[in-house]
Amino acid sequence: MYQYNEFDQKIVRQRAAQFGDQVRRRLSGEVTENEFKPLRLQNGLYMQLHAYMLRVAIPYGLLSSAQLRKLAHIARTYDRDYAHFTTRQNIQYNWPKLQDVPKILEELAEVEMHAIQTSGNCIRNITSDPFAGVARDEIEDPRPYCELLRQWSTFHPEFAYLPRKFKFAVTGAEEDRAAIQVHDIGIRLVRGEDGTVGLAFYVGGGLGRTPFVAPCIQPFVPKAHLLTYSEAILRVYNRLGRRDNMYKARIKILVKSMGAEAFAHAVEEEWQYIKDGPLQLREQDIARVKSYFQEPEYPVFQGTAPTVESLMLSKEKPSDPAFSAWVDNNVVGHRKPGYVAVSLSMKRETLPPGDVTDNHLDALADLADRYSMGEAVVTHRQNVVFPNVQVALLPPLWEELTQLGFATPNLQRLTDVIACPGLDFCNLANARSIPVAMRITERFQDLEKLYELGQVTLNISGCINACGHHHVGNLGVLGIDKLGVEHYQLMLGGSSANDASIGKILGKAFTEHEIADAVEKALLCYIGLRTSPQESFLATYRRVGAQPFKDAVYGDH
Amino acid sequence: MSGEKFQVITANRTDDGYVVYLAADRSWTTSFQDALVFDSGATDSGESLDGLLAWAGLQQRDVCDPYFFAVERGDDGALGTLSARERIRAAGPEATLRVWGYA
Ligand code: SF4
Repeated sequence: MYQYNEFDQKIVRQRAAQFGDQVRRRLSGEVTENEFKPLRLQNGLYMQLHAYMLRVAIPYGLLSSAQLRKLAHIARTYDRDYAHFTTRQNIQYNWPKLQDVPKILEELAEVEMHAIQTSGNCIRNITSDPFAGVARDEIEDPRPYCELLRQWSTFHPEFAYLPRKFKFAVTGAEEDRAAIQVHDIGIRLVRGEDGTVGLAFYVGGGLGRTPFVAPCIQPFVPKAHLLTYSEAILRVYNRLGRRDNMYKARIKILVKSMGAEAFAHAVEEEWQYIKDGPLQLREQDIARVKSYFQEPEYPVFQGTAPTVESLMLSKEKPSDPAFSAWVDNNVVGHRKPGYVAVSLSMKRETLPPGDVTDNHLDALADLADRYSMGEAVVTHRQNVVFPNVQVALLPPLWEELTQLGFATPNLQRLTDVIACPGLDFCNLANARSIPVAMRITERFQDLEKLYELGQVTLNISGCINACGHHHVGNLGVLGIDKLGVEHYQLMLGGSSANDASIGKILGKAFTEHEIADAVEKALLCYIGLRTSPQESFLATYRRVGAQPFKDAVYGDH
Repeated sequence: MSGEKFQVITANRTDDGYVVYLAADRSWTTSFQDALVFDSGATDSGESLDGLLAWAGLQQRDVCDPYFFAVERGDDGALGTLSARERIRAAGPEATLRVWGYA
């Protein structure tokens, strides 16, 4: 993984020291909250409903075991023994004291982490495919490109005060597991006609108040122009994006109002000025960053490498059917023979989605060392991936994950719920997400019932800002406030995959006590309508439309 | 000013961000039930909501972003909130607190 050079090290340490001084002045009364607010936000420190919240960046979701241990230590020492994986591959602490935050930043700097670019109108932490580097359907590892973008964007003076926050996602795979089309800029590594690898740019996607699927404005940009083309887009946005109305300030509104073609034209014009400038990447620039993401030294197998199929036929396979279910659901192929990538489910009925304790984080670090070459990846679905697991070690890994409660075989199933912090924590929320997620998860604990539903995603947000990605859940739940009472709208038909689409509101909102029933009715309706168990919820919805679901959900309402 | 009859002043504490309410002695309390109640914009002793809110706004070292919100009084005299947001601010993130043992 990427390792800080002297310069990186210096800037995060300097930033921690600088913030230490700002906190000191705030606590001595020299600085007011209004003066302090922009300073704390530049360091990922929010004021939430009940306490400060510190959001720590995890670039492209990748964590070493040393970083996991540090995150555990911070939860234990400075917070309430737990933390929360977010829907943008970051981690949040919900209860830090102001005087401790500079110390936390210093501790983070020791393991090459920080909280910069996790707030404010700047380029935020860059997200990617959780299987990056090991996916079988990958053209090229996207992480070096994420890292180049990170280095370019950190403290970029021109883009420190954009009209609004700005989010990049990059994938190198055929299947989009990074939701690139609902980001401000989504980049996909693609193969050109002559076989060379380049970059397709999708611009102006996003969720929130006005959700859009991003159009592709440029299907092939040479890799050397990753930064020049990105800079051209940002310049057009910085110049023409609206600053008069924060609800219309995201780049998606600009792209929509100009039209994708005109926007692409403006970018092209801007690009001509900077295309051949110093931001153009030389081969050695890319090679330098790529060298940090070299394949680990995979042990060579004597004879043929074991496969999941051979393991399942062997006597090493645990007799418990739960093991088979877990392998089927949570284990995916790896580009290296004899290896797999394993998804750990952070979702279970008793836990808020994405929450982990200090002990969990320590245990994950220990397991990553023993089973995954010391690495783990946080996913935007708030789970964790072990990217490098030997097939032969699946049985003992499963045993250990079962002990921890992270072996639930529910990946991409209904109970693999995405939920934002909602009104339990968030200052902007209208309604709680966590109890709703827990209630629905509790209702679908029966695995048979869960599997009968096939692959289906349920995403929950506590307000229209859509951090819980509700627009792109096959089922989406949006919390709203009706005269002081929490209500929930149900949306159907969203997707963040290659066939990205925005879900549509089904009808009038439900109370907190009704929403789980409504979700269940929609799912029962799907089972009745599908042509075969192979037809997914989304496919059925797209085939039949909303009306049968409306009838089923509201019929006796 | 709010059309609701009773109000209290609240803020987040600078040291830790915790929810606090202005009490009768002008200290800040974490207990909602101990909040100073304004009846139609004034306390029993005649202090005005607007005046105390302006004062609270100057207590920058101690609290951040004070504001007032409407409350109700039950028959037993207990204070109740009228919005989900203030109910949760007063009670804390219940589900999470239960799970992680801070209830
Ligand atoms: S969607 Fe709304 S409630 Fe949820 S975290 Fe985002 S801003 Fe907060």
